[in-house]
Amino acid sequence: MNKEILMNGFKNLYQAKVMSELYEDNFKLVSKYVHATSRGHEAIQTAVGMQLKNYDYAYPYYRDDAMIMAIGMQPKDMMLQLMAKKDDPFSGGRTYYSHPSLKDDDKCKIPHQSSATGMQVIPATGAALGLKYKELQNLNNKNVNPLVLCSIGDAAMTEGEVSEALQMAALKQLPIIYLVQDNGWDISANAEETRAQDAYDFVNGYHGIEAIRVDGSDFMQSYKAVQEVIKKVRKERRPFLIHAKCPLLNHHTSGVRMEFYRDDLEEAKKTDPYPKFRKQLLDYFDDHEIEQVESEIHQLVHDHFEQAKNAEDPQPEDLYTNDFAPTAITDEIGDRSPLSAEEVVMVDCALFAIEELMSDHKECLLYGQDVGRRLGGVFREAATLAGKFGDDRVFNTPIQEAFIVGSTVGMAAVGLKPIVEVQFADYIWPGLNQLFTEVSRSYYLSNGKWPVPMILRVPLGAYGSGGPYHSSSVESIVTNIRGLKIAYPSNGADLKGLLKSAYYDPNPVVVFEHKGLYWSKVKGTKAATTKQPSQNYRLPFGKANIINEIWPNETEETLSVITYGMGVHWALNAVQELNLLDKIEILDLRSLYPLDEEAIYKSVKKCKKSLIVTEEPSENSFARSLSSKVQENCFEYLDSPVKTIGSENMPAIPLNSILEQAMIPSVEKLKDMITKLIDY
Amino acid sequence: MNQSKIGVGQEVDFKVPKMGESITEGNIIGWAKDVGDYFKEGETLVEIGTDKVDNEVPAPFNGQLIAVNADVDDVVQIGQPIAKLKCVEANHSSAENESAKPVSTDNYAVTTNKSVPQKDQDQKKSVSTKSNKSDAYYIPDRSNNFYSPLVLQIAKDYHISFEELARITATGADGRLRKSDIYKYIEAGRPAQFAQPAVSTESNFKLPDLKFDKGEGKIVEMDRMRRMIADHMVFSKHVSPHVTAYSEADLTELVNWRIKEKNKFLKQNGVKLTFTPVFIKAITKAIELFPMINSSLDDKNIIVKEHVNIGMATALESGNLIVPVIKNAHQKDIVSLAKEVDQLTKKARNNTLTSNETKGGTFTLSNVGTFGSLMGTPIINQPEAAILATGLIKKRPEVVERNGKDEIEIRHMMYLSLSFDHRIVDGFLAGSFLQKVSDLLENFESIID
Repeated sequence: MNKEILMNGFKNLYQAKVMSELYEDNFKLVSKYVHATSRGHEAIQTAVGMQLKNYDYAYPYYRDDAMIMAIGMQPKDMMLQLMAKKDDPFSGGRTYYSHPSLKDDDKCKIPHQSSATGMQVIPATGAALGLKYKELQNLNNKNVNPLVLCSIGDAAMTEGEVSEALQMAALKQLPIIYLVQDNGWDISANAEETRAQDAYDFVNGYHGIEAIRVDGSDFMQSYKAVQEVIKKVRKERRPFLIHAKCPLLNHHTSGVRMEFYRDDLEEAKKTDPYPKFRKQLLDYFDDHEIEQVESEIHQLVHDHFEQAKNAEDPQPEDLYTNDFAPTAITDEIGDRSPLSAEEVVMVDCALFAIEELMSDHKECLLYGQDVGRRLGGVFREAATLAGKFGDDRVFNTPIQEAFIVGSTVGMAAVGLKPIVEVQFADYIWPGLNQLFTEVSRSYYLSNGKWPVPMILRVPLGAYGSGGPYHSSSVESIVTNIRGLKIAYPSNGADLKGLLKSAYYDPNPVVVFEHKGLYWSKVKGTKAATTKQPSQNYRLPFGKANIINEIWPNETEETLSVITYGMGVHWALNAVQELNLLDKIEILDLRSLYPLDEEAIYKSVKKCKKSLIVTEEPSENSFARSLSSKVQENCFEYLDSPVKTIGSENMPAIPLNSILEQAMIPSVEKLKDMITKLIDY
Repeated sequence: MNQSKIGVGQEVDFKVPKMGESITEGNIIGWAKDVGDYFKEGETLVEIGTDKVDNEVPAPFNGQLIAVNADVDDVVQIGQPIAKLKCVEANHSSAENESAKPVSTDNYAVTTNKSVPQKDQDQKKSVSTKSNKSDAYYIPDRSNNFYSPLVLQIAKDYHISFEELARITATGADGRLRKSDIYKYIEAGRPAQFAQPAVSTESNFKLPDLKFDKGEGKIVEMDRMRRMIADHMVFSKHVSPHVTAYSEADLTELVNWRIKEKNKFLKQNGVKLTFTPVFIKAITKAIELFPMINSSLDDKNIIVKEHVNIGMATALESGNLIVPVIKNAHQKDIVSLAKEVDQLTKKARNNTLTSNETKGGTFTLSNVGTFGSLMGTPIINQPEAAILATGLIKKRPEVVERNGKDEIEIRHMMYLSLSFDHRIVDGFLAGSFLQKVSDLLENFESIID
């Protein structure tokens, strides 16, 4: 084997080892922030890291410090993150040791991954799906054949989401390597009690993922095996799994002590990669040379540690940076209601928006369940798109909400702008983990390196006896995930304008689309059908719309109704039937985050009374929390308590239409509540 | 009531209508039509002000204003012709002026100067806070005293006190005072700003449902005056916590003095010498020493009055009660007082008292002795703070000290009963005042000048 490779490999391995021992020696200082080291895993990690190119994408996990340094980082870089310093190059002190986010030109790219074990596999596979898409659409650099390296521990393989990802890798034959570092332990549970088979055997069930076993504690063996796999993946563009056995020679993390529960420590030490490698090295270098190298590394590591120790901590004001990437869309532009435009149902406004986007931007693609050529979406929300743009750009996924949502992180990492759908809001739950853990935090925890410009369309709302699994409203769940922008328009023009703004926004956006408004089929929702705005029409987030502005009126009772989505139509009908259009102002929020607080408070301060309307159960809801903000900011102007009206507090919306009507708000219920407030 | 049919072309006098039982005169505030103008039945012709209320007097028929006999600011009497009208269309005049849409202040309806609030962006106090001082305003029976932050802010901006807030009509749920109520009230000129409610049509006292057996017999309908008296009595008792203090005075010397002087007095002054002027003198002198008894309560303020105007409760033949007032009694001597007492009493009996002569009292004297009562628990004449009832002067055996020895003599004794408003006056003040009056009556030489 090449001497240089061996020496570089050894240096990296030894460096990692010295660092883990240094941390142990300085336990009191470094244990403030929990961390895990690669001690025992260095050989395989080094072998992999050394062979990744600057056009590859790596998704390491929390034990991969040797791999990260093999990719090109210095001990000091790692230590700055260890001690959560301001100049931590990965996250500015926001996340743990060995949780890198890297976007250097000369190094392999490392998008943000979370700490929850196994959650990185879907984004990694999404990146590989993106790479394949770029190749098919000729958006790639033809000179290189990038791949995705997803590193994971054996115990995390049992997470359900991992299976979703493997399914996709096999189905689509993606250019991805799953490196499974198997040390036989999660924290304190061992392999025997947690799995029926190891990863190598497990992946055998997937048609199309080739797997190899390798001794992860032997550098030379590891290096050669990895080299072969990489060659194949670059050339043949298909998925591989490398099962590498390694000994875990240090604590699981600084938060536990291995001596406490490990019954196999003596056995494990026998396969320590360091003595093994050092011995092998003596065939190429003499002992003195190696000693010299080791001594230099000791010095370097200790120097770097001193530097890192004395580095600056972040300031309190550093909390507030990089929660959202800045967007260029700040003003409403374009023609919302062109003279020659036709009236178009809401679902088609969205359809035309996406069509225009896909026409203009090759990096735009749409996927989800049933959106493909045959059906074009269960609400026809993607009709004709596959026909126009091809089955590679508009395609069906398996029933995998987690993959649908989380893959967008990887897609975004490789430069694409995916639009995805969950079929009903009622099915968003399996996707919430990815939405929260991976999508919403990527920009913030990578300190601004990895925004996720994706759009998640969510058809929601009760309409025509959908029953308990086709009727839910889920605004409160999503508004409680910071890092997302959220649109909830009440009509077609707003939907088109917001979709366009969402696409050009570098941040992740959830777009709620009420299925009852799609076709204006629900009685009294004709207002959802509008003229189709022009192609260049953009509606920025955080801009509410006053449906009917009223004059301030002191000698008559006035009311401000704050609402969104279907609530706008209930309110409009109720106010019209009560003949109070000049006394009741209806405010359509249009976007739930960012929220147009200025407009809300202005309206309430003018009207002196306020009602918040939502379709969700009002208990513990976004609407209730909004009413509290209104109360806080408008207290001295209020002539009545701020009321909220929503669905009843039952666990599900029943199937029977009478029960459904009793459960959700309606024009009648709103009229009742409005009358009470006006009379108060 | 005569029904008169007024023919076309006929010219009639336009007379000042009756504007209230106790109202005898008014002043012209302004003419709504000029000479030569045409008007329709019901249109306002003239606005006449009285001390109680301003009235817009409507035209009794369609016609033309031919002549005007009274100018702006002129004082005119009820029934006085102030203009000439010509009927220009055949129609009925349903009644004479007095009942032509009588602006009857039966209910003391409030007509105010309307001031329109400027619609400022920050809703600031540009509303005219000129209040029309109507001293009769409904007090809403409001049990709901919750004020929202907005209402409190408006009250702060317009300097409306809690007492005034409580007087504003509330139309919100459960009787809550809401935004539109308070703004409408302000727009109307804050009519209850200085409310000293004289009459409310609904008594605040609700009769318990005890099914009184009132018995049967002759029905005597209460006349207007009786009703007013009844309401005033109920109101006075309701609003002032009444306490009555008693003292007695030995009037033997005074009685003897009067017997001696009465013939001479009558010859010299032409009026009878009664005890009343002496009582009045004693009262005014005592008020000088205890001015707080001569006061009224306004909201949170006690108005201690400078003038001492003594009202004399006078019984009429009809059985009703009227209280003519002697103005500035403290500045008048016995002779003037006697003359005035005599004059006012005569006028009362003849029903010729002017409204001026029955208002402005600051203290009332009620001589219950004239009809034989020893003492009483008189009801305060609002808005005064106290009322004194003098009882029967009766001969009684009393213990007197002569040359250091106690002896029994026959003396002329009189009980004095002072009812006072315990919100304003305490027992010490009342007792001291009353004792002073007794003293002065026993040593009357000092007050007769």
